[in-house]
Amino acid sequence: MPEQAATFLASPSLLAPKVPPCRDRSEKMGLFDESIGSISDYLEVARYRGLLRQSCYDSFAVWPEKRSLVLQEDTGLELGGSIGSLFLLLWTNRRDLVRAGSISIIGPDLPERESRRLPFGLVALVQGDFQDEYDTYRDIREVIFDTHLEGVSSRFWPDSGQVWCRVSREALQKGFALNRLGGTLIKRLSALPGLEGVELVFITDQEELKRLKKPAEKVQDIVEALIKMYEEMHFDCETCEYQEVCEEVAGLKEIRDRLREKRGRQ
Amino acid sequence: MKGIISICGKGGVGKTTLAALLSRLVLEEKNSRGLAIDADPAGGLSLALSLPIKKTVNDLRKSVIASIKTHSTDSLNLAASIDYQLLEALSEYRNLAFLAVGRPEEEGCYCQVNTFLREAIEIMAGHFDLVLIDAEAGVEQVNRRVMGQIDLLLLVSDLSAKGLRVAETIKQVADEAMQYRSAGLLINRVRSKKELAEVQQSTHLPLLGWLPEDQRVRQFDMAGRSFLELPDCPSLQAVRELSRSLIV
Repeated sequence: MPEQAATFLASPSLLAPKVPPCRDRSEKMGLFDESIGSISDYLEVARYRGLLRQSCYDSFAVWPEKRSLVLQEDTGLELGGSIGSLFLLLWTNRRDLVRAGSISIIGPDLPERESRRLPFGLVALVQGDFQDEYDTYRDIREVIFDTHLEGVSSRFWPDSGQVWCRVSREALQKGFALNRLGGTLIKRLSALPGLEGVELVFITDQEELKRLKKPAEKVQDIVEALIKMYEEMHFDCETCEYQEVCEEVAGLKEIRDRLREKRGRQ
Repeated sequence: MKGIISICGKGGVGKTTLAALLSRLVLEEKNSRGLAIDADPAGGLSLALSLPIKKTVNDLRKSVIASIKTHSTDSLNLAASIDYQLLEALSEYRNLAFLAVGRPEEEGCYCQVNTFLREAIEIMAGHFDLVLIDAEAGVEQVNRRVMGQIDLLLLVSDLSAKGLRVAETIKQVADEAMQYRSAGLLINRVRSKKELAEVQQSTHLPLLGWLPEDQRVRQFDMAGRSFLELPDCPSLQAVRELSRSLIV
């Protein structure tokens, strides 16, 4: 078991409810609160199994920003893409669900790699005082997609939940590691209005990525239902393929009713 | 070499050969990067360079459209997924990357997808010192499907009157339909200076250079060998000479 991981070893609270109850009755259940709960449970178990290393955001541990296209001949390491990847973005208004400033790594960090390709998962848990769910989603994505690091080409395929990075040999020699990627993302996201905290989880182990497949599918369904509500003018719930998701996720139902009422008035 | 060059001309005059020779030169300039784009639906540049077509831009377009039909998505996700798939579509050999455009789009208007695709290609092209577009004769397609702004419109012709007339017509069309900074003529398969002088007198297009009839190039072409492995030969020397005066 890695020494660093042992420091955080604690009994997993597997019997605890997935999501702590809302602290006051006026607090609404957020779109992803349950999914964040599942991910927190997973992290607890990973910590217990000695797989998780956690560090705190350090404003000095960032990486120079520059749009780069790393060609194969300059690539020192490929992360994610076709060998396995996961990109998850979740947000909530509840402070108790996100460990602000935490960067967790499950699997080898980049300097510890043994091959030129690693599976890659990036999970971003974002907390803030968010008024509009879709604006929030758009703002956070814009920042993540628009974060370009020197010597790193990153690509996101959100509809497939995939992420793919090419890291140049030069960037690796200069010390590029996941905490640098995490630090830069947190720094940039923190500039968003209303945002109060970001927790990032990086996964570079194939088996561990598989464990998050189910929560990832749920998140994808919620996101697609949200996009549909905002991008389409008319609601026909009877024929909608996301009807089941909307009925299940309380937050989506509220958004649907709110938008329906708003558009009905126009 | 620097800039965006669109190579146009009548079918069979040697556009693809010239694009392949220029691509071969990129390998000599180790500190620069080249992107070769096959915008001819016939797809000959892939064969000339022996670089595989992983996915054409049109395949990508179709995959994005299919995804829109089955998934709920928005413009931000769409643009990001196009960037992702465009990098996947690149074939690479050392400091040269290759992208095939594929057949023209089928019916149906997906203006947003087309716009995102063109923007993504333009952004990607910005990371390369030299971009070579092996274009089909319908030159206006280049602007619509590949690149909004071209630095050099390189019109290729052989010694035939037909080849020259087509080059002149392409230039006329380009004046109306394309944004480019300069244009000029390259004559291919020249056997003597006398032939070249005669051609020069029969056209108003400015002559940028010429390529000799080259046995080595013919052999490579006939054998289907990669031009990236072409040893030094008269054609390569002529293209090297041309490249010094080209840019742009």
